Amino acid sequence: MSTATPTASPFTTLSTLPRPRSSAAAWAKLFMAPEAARQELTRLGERFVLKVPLMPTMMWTSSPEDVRAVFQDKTGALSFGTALRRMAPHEIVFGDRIMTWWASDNHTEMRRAVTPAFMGKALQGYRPAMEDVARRMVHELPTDTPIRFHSYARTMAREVIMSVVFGVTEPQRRSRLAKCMDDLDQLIGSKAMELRYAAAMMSRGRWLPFPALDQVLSDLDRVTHEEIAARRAAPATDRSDCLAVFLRIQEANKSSGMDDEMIAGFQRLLLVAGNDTTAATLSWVIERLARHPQVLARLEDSLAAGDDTYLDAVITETLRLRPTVPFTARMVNRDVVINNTHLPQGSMVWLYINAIHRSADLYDAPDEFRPERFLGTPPDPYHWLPFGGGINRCLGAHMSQFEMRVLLRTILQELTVAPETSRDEAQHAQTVLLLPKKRATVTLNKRTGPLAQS
Amino acid sequence: MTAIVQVTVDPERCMGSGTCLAVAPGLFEIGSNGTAEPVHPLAEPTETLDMAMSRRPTAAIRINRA
Repeated sequence: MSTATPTASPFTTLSTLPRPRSSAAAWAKLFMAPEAARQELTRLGERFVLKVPLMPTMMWTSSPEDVRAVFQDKTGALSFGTALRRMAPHEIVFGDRIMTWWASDNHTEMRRAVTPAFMGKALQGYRPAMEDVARRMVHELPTDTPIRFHSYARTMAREVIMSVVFGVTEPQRRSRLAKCMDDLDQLIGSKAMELRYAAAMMSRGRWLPFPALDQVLSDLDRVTHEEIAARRAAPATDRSDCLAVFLRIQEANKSSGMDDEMIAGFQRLLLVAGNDTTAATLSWVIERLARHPQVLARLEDSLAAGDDTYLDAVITETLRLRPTVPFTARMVNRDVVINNTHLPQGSMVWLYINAIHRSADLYDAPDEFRPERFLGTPPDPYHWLPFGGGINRCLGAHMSQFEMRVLLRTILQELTVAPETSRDEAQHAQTVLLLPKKRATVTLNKRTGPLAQS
Repeated sequence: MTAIVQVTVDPERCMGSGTCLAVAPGLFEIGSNGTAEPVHPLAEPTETLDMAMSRRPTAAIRINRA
């Protein structure tokens, strides 16, 4: 519809912003060929509009001012929960209650309640289990031969989830949990899922039935409920996994809405959100280190000196150049003006993370892998947003960075990454994540001497 | 005697991401409007508080001599 408004609007309207020749082709390219899409679409300017049939009108932006406006929005006109419901597979995986909570006013309340599970003291409690996972992996990782590091990263991320999130130790239950995670991985990466996802996006977020997925999720919830029952039957005070933290929150605050079903929902959320994303970033770190021996050398020296600052910078820089989630979105619930641009109800605003992170206005030599840029300079939250931002910033952001730090440090104590001269691995989309195309194919070597005493 | 400082959070700047809760556990909480609030508006200037100041992503936290 393009009827002229009777009076001239004082605001920029979406119809005046640039558009690619074919929005549908651009939309497909964003998923199928993310790097080519970025190069092409950023030529249109900081903002552009996509009008894809059956989809809401989308304003894509890589303006830090827009990022700020979206993250600081306190009017409630921009909704992340609704955007996820409409555009992402979250609803069928996490369930209606979690999604309703996400889009509701209770969100802040519950977020405040669960935050301690992902911060400070709780993280320190997770450390021994994480180190244990990495130490075991050091012995399993083949050396002196090319491997696809991603599959090992996934194993590590999964082991961490089983120990740190679920804390399931009873062998039979643990193997059922592992099976659930296997099945879930397979289903989420399946063609059946992709088709349903594409169909859901074009039908206002309505998902076709997916009984196989429902079955796995209900098996997974059963494991959680059994574990909860077992813990209630034999209380122990020394547990430090997420489930224990959630149960303590439930105990301490009966009115928080944290019933067993909600806990099971959060466990699902952590499992899915914390597994593939962390494994992908770990893989990207290794992919980058293999192609930047001088960065690896400096990293090894700093770890030998017992200093994690450079490791943090390496992780931060990897998340900048290779964000696993290349964009985030908000649904416009009612007409709103941001930075003098009118966004009508029912449209969407997309923050183009992949483009923001590579903007020459925001970063010197934006295409280069230079961890030094973050030494002593923490990333600006409106220029660096691999975890989103505002009240919806990823709750697991600190936990995931903590986990990557622990895993990488432990592995690099024993193994080193052989320099790789082949081309950089491309960003390859799998459902909503960008993975290294060759799954971080590298060769690891045993260290001749120990790196440092930990 | 330790000097006491006044800790404030500018709700206009704060985006409520919870970074300060992570780096300075116990010193900040997320208030009902979704932005950070100091648990103790008057506090001793500790290393943790310094850390929260240095990591605050949006410069919303301010510390002044009381």
